[in-house]
Amino acid sequence: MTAVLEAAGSSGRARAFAPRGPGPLRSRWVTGLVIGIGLVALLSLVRAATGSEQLTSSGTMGAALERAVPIGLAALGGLFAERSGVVNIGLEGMMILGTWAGAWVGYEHGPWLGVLAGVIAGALGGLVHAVATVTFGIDHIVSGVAINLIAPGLTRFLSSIVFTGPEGGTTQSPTVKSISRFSIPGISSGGNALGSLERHHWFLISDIAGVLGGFTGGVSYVTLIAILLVPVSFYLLWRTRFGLRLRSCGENPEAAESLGVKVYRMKYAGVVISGALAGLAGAFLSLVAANNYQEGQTGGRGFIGLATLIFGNWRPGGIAAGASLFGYSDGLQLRAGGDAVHGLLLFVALLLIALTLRFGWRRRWAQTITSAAAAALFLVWFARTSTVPGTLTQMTPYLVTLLVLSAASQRLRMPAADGIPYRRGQQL
Amino acid sequence: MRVLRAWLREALNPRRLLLSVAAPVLALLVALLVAFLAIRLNGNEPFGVFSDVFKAGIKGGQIVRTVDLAVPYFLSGIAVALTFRMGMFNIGVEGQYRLAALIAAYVGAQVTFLPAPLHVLFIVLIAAAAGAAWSGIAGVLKVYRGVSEVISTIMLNLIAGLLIAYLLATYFRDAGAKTSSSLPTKPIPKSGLVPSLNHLLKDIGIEVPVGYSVTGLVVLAILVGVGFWVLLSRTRFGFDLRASGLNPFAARASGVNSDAMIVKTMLLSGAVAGLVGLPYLLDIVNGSGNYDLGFPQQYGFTGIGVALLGRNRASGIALASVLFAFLENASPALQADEVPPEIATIMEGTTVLSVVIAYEVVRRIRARQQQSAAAMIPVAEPVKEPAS
Repeated sequence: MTAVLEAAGSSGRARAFAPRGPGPLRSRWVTGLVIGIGLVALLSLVRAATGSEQLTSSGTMGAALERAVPIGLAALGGLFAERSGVVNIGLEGMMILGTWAGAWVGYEHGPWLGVLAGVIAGALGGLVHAVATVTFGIDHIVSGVAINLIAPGLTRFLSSIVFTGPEGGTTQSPTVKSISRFSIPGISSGGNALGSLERHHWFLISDIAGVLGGFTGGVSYVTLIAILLVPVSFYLLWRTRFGLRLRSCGENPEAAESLGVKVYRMKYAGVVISGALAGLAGAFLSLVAANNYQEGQTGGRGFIGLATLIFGNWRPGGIAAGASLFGYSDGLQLRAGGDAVHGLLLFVALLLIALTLRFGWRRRWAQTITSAAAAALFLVWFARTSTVPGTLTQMTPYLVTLLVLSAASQRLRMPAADGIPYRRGQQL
Repeated sequence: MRVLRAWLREALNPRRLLLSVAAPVLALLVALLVAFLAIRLNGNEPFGVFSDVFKAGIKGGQIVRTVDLAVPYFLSGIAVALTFRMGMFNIGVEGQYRLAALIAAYVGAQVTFLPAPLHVLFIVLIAAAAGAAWSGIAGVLKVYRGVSEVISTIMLNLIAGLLIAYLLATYFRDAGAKTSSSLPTKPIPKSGLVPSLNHLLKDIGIEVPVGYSVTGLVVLAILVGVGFWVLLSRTRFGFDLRASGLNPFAARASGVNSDAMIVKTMLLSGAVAGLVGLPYLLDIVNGSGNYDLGFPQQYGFTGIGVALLGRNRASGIALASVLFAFLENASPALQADEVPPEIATIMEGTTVLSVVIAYEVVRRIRARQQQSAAAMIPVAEPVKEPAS
């Protein structure tokens, strides 16, 4: 009994992505906040040095948030599946189902029902994955790949049947009514205190105003739900009986089964929730980020979600950090172009210099030299160029994931039985 | 003689025979059922559509198109199967072949001094080397940093797609091209292209319909297929590879250097993957002769399905690639019946999923039979093929 609980519990308390080590939840929140403000201060420095005001403008922050939401939702989807021990490569396909169903029902019955439909469609995709991997025990990757093959074909097929009209067609749906957004009066609309603060371009203060402005002005309610889903997922997975059981299936299903946990049922729950979250991510793309379904709308975000899951060390907090990072680089590129992203090179160089100092302080010479060399590389890159090509910005999540996997794999801890097919009553 | 007879009896045992063909047949039936329902949903008469597709598919010209398309599918399937047999999973064929095709197209166009056969060989080698280099990253990351090749090849796929867009936009595009919106590379000179097999086929008495051409790269596919078979079943390396796939611990205990095997297999798989784009690139009649943004995609993912359907055997992969090519080429016939051609894609995906499930079900039935046949002796589970 204790073994499983220990295993599941210790992973629960295992380090979040912030390399601080385990600690009580509240102190981790404080640490996170301090790191966040520190990063904004550094960005503010870079803004002052490069003069690209877009780096921390509320517009950029709003765009970053909008870009981070589908990535983060997909990653949360991956989290539920992988915590129950099922790898979900099919996130992309389930997202596609969500974009399509969201737009279809949204067009027929209004956007909120569309969101619901997206969730259901994604959950159905998850159900297929669950039947294939849990009931039939086939390789998780194969099933995911198959779902990714089927989903675009299916939506295209259904589109050509359903979206026949002047606006719709095989590759897109008619326009859907948009979902309402909110701003907080007096702070980010009306009096707009944050906006006026932002316009002064004061060090740090204007930047924080920009961040807050982007997070409180013109935010969709779906975004709000998505943000709330991060703590909700944490609570559900680490503070409830259901969560403990689900995670025990991802760590040691045989032991969980012997303790009376219905492993199959738990895995089904994990994968279906996973699909539902991916479907919500898809519906967000077609109903909030855009006003209709377009073919290829997901643009690999399911895979970025997978990358975010790894980057976030299979933890909700880490996922939020990863989604923010990838959403920010994406949003900045979208909003301000490669010239503003160029400023981030200096930002990375400064971060690496800070890291170098830290390693030097701790007398870890090999790491000191590596990070110093990397910092120099970024400084040279910053000095010798004036813009960053958009393709490179888009590559960031994938490159960062490969880097994190190859450099910090000691720190990463995936669920122990993740991706291993499980059959009741069978020793492997 | 007695051994032979026993073997024959065992091989022709109706139950065993039934079980071994049951899985693919079952999977195809499921796929057909899905297509049936989809066609119904669209408001057509399914059997009429099936017979139209079939009739169109066995016309001479259509057979040629199917063979031509089966070549890249086959190569892609072999590339994936190589890693499956070793117990790994190369999802990165997609990125490997696209990047390799781009580099082969670019380098091949710069070289003008080589005579025809050598020029073609040169391009083939460049493509194989480029594919191997890209997949080698995943192999090295796995061995030295413990990064799962599944994740790294997915990431490398996405990186490759963006890298291609970047390279085409900056260095590799032909500045003098007339249609520059698709960013084409410089065309490969004629000496680097592969001639059609039509004349050869005519000499042996097969008449290819006018307007169609059997691609010369069928030869490449055959060479790769035979090479695959010889390598796996007739060489020490192939034995080690299969042993590592069947039981990595036993293989390591018997002296197989598993790290070296991982890197070698990834390199080999990538080299074959590098060839996947060549039929489209180099065919003198239907090929593009250069790389641009419209270069075909998805062959890599189709290859996964082909390898799974073909059970990672050369002959099975050949059959599966022809089947997938047939489905893919059904579009015109489907459109003629006003059925959305995406049904073919849905069928492919469904086949992959259901064939794997069917094999698993058959494996379980077999295991149960063996267990009941030898109820007294504790029977070890037959070792499971990876990813099946």
